[in-house]
Amino acid sequence: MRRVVLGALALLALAAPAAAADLGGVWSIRDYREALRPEAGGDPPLTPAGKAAYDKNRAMAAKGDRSFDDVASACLPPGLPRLMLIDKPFEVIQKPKVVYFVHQENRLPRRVYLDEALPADPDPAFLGYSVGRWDGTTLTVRSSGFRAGTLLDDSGLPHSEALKLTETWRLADGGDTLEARFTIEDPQTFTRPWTAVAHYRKRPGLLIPEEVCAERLKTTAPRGRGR
Amino acid sequence: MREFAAAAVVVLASCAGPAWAAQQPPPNLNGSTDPTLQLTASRVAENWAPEGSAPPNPDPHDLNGVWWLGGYQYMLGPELYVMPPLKPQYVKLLEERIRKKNAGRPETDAATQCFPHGMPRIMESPYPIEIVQTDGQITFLHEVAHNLRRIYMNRPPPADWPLSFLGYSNGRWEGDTLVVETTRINDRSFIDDEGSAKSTSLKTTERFRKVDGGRRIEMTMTIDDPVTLEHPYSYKRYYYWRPDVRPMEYVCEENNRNAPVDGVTVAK
Repeated sequence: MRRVVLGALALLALAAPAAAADLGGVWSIRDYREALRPEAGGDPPLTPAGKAAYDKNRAMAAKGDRSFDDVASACLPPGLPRLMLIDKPFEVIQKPKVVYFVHQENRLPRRVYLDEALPADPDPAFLGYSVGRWDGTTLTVRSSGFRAGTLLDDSGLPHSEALKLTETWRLADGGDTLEARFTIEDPQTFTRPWTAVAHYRKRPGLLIPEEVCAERLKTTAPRGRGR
Repeated sequence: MREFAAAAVVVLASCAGPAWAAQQPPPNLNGSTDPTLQLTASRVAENWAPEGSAPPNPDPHDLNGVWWLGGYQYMLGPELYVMPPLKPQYVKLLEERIRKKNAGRPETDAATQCFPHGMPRIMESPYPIEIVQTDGQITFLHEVAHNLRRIYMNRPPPADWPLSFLGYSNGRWEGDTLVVETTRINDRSFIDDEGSAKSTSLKTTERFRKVDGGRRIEMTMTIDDPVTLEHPYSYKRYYYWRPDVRPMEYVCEENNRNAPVDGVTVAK
């Protein structure tokens, strides 16, 4: 798997990259909300199975029970796009072949490999597998290979392993704002692809502290789901 | 793929097996005849990239890329199987910890709870490190348990910067050597896997220098802790250029089965 990927990378690296914007620096979300909603308005177009799973999570949350949420209960990595939507800063490190999103949240790194094909069958991971390309000054990122069990947002919006995520990242407001659009495609959970938008403000000079999620877990039982 | 690499290492170690090998059990602490003080098997080894790998960037100031420690030492003293120069009360503490380990009830360390491994121990992790260099900052993305270090160049810690497992790292170039001074390290982890104690007065100084045409980085670690150590000491390590390796997702928290009970690790 690794060899195949690196071989593909070597071939694709020959294509000259387009002029990129500079997304580097520390950012934090400007329009945080617990529940991700379509940019076009209304509610996410859940399938009956998706709605049943979401309703179950919401009912548990209403009773203060977050056991459906592996981030809250076991400090597992939030999936995507949730990791990009939580109310904590992250740092973008932009290099020619990789764009890194390094989060305050439990110090999680996310890598977007540029000018590389999405593997047909990536090993499942909490953060999936992300490839990107610059279209002028817009960074387009496609991800798949997600594990089931993570959530799309803090409210408990579910997804299946069939999730495919497409993100477009660009600067706005003369570089003071980072804007991202998330297009979610998961036919098991949603009746059609839908798009949400988020904005981030620049945090110049902010030093991100070492955040250790596991410090707040007090249980002595094995944590996480028995996967 | 990583599993394959690890298996290959095991095979090589058991075939070649020079100083470190299954037939040679590790010594006891400080040459003791007490078998309850036996140290954990450690080794000095190389970890070169496979033949045909992309060549390293020869620029001595460019550390970008994936690097992987050669060998792995459980106790981080000045030499293999040599104890750090601990003060007498911390020698006693180390002996207690080694005895607990050998009795199958090791004392809880940070890493067993999915906390960061702490400095300097994280630099001894036998997992790849991806170094990403940008203006004013060098970032170390450790595969193991998503440990993260940021080295701020020519930027001392803010006056009120909190203690943390990996501390605050201030770097500078001295010629072709990257010098990193790390302070503000908490005392909730050990210097090493055996259990050498450290205090919040700990300061580490790492000197990184590309050698062998950039095919590895030589690192000299100097450890200074006036509370637990009689005097500062140093050791040397090599990190190997590994363009064939892409860091993988490592989630300690997913299988955190070593949660402590009354401060003692209980493997489940």
